[in-house]
Amino acid sequence: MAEYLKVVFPQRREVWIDGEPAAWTQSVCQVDAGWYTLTLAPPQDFAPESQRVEITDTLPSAPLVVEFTLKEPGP
Amino acid sequence: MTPLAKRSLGLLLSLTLLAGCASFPEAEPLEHVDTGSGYRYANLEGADNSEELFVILSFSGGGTRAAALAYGVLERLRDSWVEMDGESRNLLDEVDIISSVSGGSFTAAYYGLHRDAIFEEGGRFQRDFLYRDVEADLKRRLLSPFSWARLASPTFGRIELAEEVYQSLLFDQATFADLSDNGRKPFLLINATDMDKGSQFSFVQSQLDPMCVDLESISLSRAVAASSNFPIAFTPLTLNSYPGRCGYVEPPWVANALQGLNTNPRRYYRARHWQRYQEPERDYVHLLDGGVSDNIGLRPALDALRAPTLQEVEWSVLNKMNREIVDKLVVIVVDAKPENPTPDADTSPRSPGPRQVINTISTTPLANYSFDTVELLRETLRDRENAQRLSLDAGTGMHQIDLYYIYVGFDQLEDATRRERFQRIPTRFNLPTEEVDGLRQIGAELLEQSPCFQQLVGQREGSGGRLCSH
Repeated sequence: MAEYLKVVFPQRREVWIDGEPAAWTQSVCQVDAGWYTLTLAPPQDFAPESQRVEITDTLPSAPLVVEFTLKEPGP
Repeated sequence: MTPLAKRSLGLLLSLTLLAGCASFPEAEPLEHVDTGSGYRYANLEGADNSEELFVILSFSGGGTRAAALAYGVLERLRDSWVEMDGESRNLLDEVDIISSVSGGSFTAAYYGLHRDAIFEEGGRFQRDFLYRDVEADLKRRLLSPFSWARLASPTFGRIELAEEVYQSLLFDQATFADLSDNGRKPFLLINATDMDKGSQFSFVQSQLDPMCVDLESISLSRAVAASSNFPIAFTPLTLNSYPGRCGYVEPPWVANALQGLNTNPRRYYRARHWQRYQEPERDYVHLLDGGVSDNIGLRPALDALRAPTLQEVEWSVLNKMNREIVDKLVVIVVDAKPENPTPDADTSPRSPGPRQVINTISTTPLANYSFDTVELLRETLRDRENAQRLSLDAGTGMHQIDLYYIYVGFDQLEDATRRERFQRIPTRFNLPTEEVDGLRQIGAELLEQSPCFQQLVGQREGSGGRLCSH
């Protein structure tokens, strides 16, 4: 079953699924239904470090939206 | 003891020793998993084969009928050119994947090993396979007293004799190391069936990693023999397995997939099968004809269109679509499907005999499954097209890919007489010259006549994410 995911981050960055490059931020990508661990490509300037999500019952026009935020630079 | 008795005893002892020594060729263990080496998609160079245009070919089973039809398609692709970014590219050089089963695996493997030499008129592939009575070679090998002695061994079967025939006719001592050394696409998926799991088994290193087996130690003739290992006619083909001895680390997708029995049972069972290869007591895998699990060789393509990561399917085309690497996807299905096994049964009140019944039960489930597989592919591509359109309308930014589905099968022939002529060609490794010539010609002709093929080779611009399906 095709499902749809959109990862939101202030910059265009590679999205990693289960530890490998698999899509781009801000664009809808297609995945198989199920559980995945999501993170972004380095640098490690984002939060949270990773997110585990179940992707199901989505549409291309209504994908699961997962957000990563830009971390504040340290003092 | 008389001299004759002594000679007889000596002969008997020799044959017994021979039987005791005879065994299948053992695959070597993999010392450690190294994704940078071995026969893997990522290790093949793509210098003259851009992934922007991604071409998948699938060759079905069907003995020489399937091999010759696939050969005709390759001949047509060799003579076809496609425009990409203002550059003319040879379509055969652009093929990324060939997934094959049974009879189709002979053509796929020989092309993968020898490339354009396969097309040499009167050359080895034509002379020693397509136009040859390979069945006679198999029978001669089986009837040799030397073979009888070896067949008495429990670890040497008729499939090993078949492998020896294919080795001497076509592949010599070539192994997957030769394909790795060749280093060029297309990436071959020679498919068999794992008896224990009832699932497809592809001869690629990623499949053998959890078994800790070095694919490069396996001969191409053995892979082709496994792929065309017609049940009962041949014995199951045995591969060694050395689970737990190469430091194999299970990839993360497996644990995630095992959480989703209800959400995605297909992915769940793929993960379960994957884990079974790692079970320590499983020192052997027994393989049958690839046609038993998928007689059209399309299931790997379906998996590659579903799996979003390369750890799940090493050549995942979905991964390459999501990463905006692929702009144009072409899937060419070459299907040598024969006619209904009992075409005239309904013209008589007599009950069909045991032979017709056996024919029906051995071919109809495979044919129905193949039909559903082809339809599933078409639906998968149609869903992708719809998703792209919806995303475009909603402005959600899905990568727009031009999709081409091209089906080459006898039922595309409009003329009923021609159609029936080809559908009635039996599944054998011995066909008359005129049948082989006809199959080559019809393979090329059906591809040429496909409206989507014509669109593919005639088009200068992209089609804006549309699916051409014919």
